[in-house]
Amino acid sequence: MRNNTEGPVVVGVSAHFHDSAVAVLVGGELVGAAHEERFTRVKQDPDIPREALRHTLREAGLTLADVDCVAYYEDPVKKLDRQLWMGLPQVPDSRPDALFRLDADRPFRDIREALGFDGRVEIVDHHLSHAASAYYFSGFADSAVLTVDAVGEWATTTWGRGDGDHLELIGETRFPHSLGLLYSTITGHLGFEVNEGEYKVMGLAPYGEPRFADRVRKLIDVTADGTFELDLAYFDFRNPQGMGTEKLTELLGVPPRVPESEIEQIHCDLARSLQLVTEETLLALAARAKRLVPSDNLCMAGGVALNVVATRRVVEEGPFKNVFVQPAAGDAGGSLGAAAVAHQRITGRRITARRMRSALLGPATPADEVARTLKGAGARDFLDFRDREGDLLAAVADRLAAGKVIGWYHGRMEFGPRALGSRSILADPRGADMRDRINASVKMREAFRPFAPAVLAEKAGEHFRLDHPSPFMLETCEVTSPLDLPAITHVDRSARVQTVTEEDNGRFYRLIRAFEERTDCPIVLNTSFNLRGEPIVRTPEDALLCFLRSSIDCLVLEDFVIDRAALPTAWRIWFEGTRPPRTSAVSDSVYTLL
Amino acid sequence: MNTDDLNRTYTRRLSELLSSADGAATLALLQKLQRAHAPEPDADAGTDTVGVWRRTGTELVRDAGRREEWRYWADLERVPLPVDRRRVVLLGESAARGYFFDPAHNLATLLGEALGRISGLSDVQVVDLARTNATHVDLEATAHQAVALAPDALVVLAGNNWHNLDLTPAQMQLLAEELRSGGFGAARTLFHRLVVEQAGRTLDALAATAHAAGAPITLVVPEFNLADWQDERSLVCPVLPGEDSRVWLELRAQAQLHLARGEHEQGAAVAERMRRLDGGSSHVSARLLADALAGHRPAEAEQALVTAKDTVVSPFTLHSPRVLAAVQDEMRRKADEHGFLLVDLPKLLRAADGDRAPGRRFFMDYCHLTFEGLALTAAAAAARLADQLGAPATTTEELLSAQTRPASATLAVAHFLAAVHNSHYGQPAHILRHHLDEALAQDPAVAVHLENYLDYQTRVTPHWMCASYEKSAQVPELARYLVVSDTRLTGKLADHDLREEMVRALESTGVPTAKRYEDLLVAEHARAESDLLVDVAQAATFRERRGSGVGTRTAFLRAADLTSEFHLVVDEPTDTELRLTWRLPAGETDADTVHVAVNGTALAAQRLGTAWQNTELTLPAALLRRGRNVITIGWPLRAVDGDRLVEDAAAALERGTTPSGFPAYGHLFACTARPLAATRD
Repeated sequence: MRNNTEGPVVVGVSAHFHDSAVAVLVGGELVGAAHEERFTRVKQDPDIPREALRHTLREAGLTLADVDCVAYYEDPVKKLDRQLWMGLPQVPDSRPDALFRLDADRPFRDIREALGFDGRVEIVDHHLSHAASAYYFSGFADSAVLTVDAVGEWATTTWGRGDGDHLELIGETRFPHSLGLLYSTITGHLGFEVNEGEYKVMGLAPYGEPRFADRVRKLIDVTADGTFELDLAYFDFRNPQGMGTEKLTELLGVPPRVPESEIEQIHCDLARSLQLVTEETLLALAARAKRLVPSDNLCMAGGVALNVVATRRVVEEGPFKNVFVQPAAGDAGGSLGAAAVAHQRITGRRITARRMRSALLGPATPADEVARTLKGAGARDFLDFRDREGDLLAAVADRLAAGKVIGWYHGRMEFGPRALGSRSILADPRGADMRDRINASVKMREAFRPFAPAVLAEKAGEHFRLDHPSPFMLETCEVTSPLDLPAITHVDRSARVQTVTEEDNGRFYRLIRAFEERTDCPIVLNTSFNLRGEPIVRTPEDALLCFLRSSIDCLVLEDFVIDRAALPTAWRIWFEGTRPPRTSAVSDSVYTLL
Repeated sequence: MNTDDLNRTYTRRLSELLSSADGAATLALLQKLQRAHAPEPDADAGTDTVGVWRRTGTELVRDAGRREEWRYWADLERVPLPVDRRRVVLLGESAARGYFFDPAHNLATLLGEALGRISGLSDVQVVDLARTNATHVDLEATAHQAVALAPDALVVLAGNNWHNLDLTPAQMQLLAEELRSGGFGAARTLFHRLVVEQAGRTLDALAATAHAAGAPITLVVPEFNLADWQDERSLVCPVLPGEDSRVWLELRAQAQLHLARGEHEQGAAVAERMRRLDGGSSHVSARLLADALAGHRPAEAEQALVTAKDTVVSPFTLHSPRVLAAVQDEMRRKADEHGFLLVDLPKLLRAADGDRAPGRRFFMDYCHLTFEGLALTAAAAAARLADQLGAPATTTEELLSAQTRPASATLAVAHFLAAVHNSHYGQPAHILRHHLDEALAQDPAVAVHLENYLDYQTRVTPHWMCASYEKSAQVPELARYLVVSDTRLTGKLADHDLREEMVRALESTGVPTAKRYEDLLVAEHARAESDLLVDVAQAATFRERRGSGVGTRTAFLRAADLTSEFHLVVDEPTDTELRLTWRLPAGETDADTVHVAVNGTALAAQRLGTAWQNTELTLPAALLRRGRNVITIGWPLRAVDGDRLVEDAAAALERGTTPSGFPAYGHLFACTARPLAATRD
């Protein structure tokens, strides 16, 4: 139950689209946030986040009786307006996937009936939620704000102004003109899952040449003042089979790739072309933001802000001195922004004006719970390092240095799409075959996909062209290391870096330092602890199952180390070669516009 | 203003006008008005798939890509398909799988043995395509696939899952209308009609498939454990119109009192009043009536049991599988129409047991047969098949007399598993005791599996990680039931009654268990802070787990009856703080009194309203004991606004979601216990 913290308790909720989540603010302090999918194990679970709510409140020592306000991350009436318009000339749209989806009352009903909350509900526009998730968590006293995604209610891109306690949106581009949907359409054309495969397209791009860039530019008209329109002849966002028209295929001259089929050079070239046009467009949008709000600072959010290559160009080539990107820039992060706006509406003041320093906002599993869980397995050769962190880190660092792949489970779960050292798979970035090995037999995903490095912050400048902290793995930069780091160096010599400090990352920092003591390499490969198609692990059992189903060599569960050789034979028989259930409530062939 | 601008104006205004609950309903109705019937997908023709196997030239080979489904089917890596043998294909569901006996014994193996005892049929191969949890859709699909095996005959034992209809929007609309006009009783009646109609279509489809294959069908009409099955206590009574729910609950208390006093006539009269009030929507009134009539009007009592069994079937709740009496009748009718051979289990089982309502002699639980029941079914089916396959006539009795008894160890494990299963469906202690005692009587060596269960079910460690589970999983029947990857069957529950019955049974056979069990319970569950809303503290059955069931899944616990029980494990009793976040559902009053008891002793009477309230109570050390303690919350008996709840349920159906028909008597968002010393820390 509630501690004596001053100020309102506000719960931000994102739901009913994809990747639902909650965020909890107490007196303007962010005390917790979590994705529903981590609890239900339903990838991108869109349902109202009832389990995330329970666990997040509990972790914060709160109950529903303590909550003053629930803030919902989009306006359902405006969304319904757009849905009705999309269905024209049918009124209402009655296709099978639209049935029962035109329901502006659902957020209120779900908050009341499923969450059980009868108090004040604040509705915050989708892009205002995105904007607030960036501005109010940036620590800037003032800022221009740019949000870019596929679609919210109507807006797909907005420009905003943050000034002290106040944040307002001052311009927008409306659906169907959407940079996010352009990216998703070609992602689908390239045979990748929409709303998941965009990262893959970005990763594929450096393997190609932008020889289709002029054709992609025909799809989007970016004006001199930094706005844009799509040529709608090439798009059909209502088609459940794919969002591009036949005319798109004719224009591109690249047939749609069959999912899971071989990736050819032409696909790489199309990815590179799309990426280039996206970067150019994002730069134009950022320039407009500067003209509208002549601040030194820029805040960014929305799914497109997770395109770290494009974001890097905004940082390096854009007109702003300082750029902050919300680490949970996708829709889940809308819960943060909605809560922050509601706090401002209730109190008249912004939330704590400090920069968000950590995304470790989810529940933790106490070390004694892990011990209790492992005890039931009987006498096994699991290594117990309770109260011996130094020995634990030495054991893990030795294994990393010996080329072992480590499943690393420690502390509070991350919020946002990135694993940042709490639910991570770690490896030595220097091994020549490490990337292929982890892609093929650990993550079971496409061979071309790069991995990210986590580096001791104070050593980052020695290995990467990076002069500022990057704690959320949100920027790419050039690898300049004297070390050979093939596992984390992309084909264009870039890397998506996470800088790690002892203050913010604790044991994870000390592990990398122990690894450095053995290898003179202050960097580890860091990728999310999950298999393709499943949410990141949450519990020790999730981690063990992922360990068993993959070729991870060693699992670290808080203070315990489990080597593969120590696994009971029965566990291996039961689970090796199996896959997690592929449960997803969201289409991966088209963007969910309903 | 151009057309597009005007369109935007129209949609904006419409969105504003249709943004309410009524607006959402309006849009859903308009969508349904416009929707044409989607064409039926083509049957899965021309593939080499049969169940989870792929057909090669001479055998079926299990498909590694469908490994997660293997557990539902016969545990066979390869099924040979010799060209020189006749073939009978068995289709069906878990009852045909021989739940609890599979893979040691199942209906297919017993049918094969019975056929083998008939002169001239020793060449007949029985191919086992029965699938646990099979619905009518699965059954039709598998029958279609089975044609590729060129069967000489089909045997079908199915119907217990046929109430699992995937309701269409149109059917949901019809149910909504019935709800509005006649409440849950009327909606249930309509649902039964839909189930029977679907059963008829399924039987027609089977007939067509069999006809195309030139293979006659032997249809086994399933039966239910009428005498010994009680539906679990959380299935009380759906919402009744107006204030009838409160009246009904008061009558229930009266009826129970009459029966406890042996006042059967008065009890029957009150049960009849309840039945009139609930319109046939609650099994409780029918069950009370059956109990009241059992001693002196057995025929009427049995009919009441049939009614109680059928009444539970509705889309508004989860319940154990079963076949409706009307579906049994439809099977008989369709058998006549299509010329199916019939094995009528309701008649067969009664005939074998002095015309008594079938009970534990033939059933391990609600619908799964004992070995005797399986063998009887197999013998009857084989006797029917003999003529079809050109063999001399034989009788069920003749075939049954040659049936060998299974190994005692197999029977013992089956009864142990039945005890577990019955417990997780809320069966009373005497039924659990029956199965546990039977298990130990059959084979004292089964004690090790009871001990293992006490270990892996008590630990917080997932079953599959426990050394004790690994040991028991060496037994194939046990590994089949407590499937390693099935989080439902191997999820942790507060099945303390079962575990304590196990402890009793073990101790009574000389296995010292009680102290060891209590120590483990304490070591695993006595905490500095105990969350009493987790399944291991409050859900004794699958259905009681938070988040299970039909209707809106909630972030809080909905009390399904007037009392809720929570199990708190403590080491050394000490004053303990109980923190509750709770409220009453909307009702006739804004506040009422809730009672809290510890181990049967009243602790507090707390005024509670309809807004969430944090409450702290102290559980005195004197009321606690080492090990398990039961904290009971008694919710007030208040009238709910039945008309509003019925309308809400109808509206949910119109939106395409299935509502729960059962009211909540209290809501709990949090319930934690902390020893006060720990709290001060």
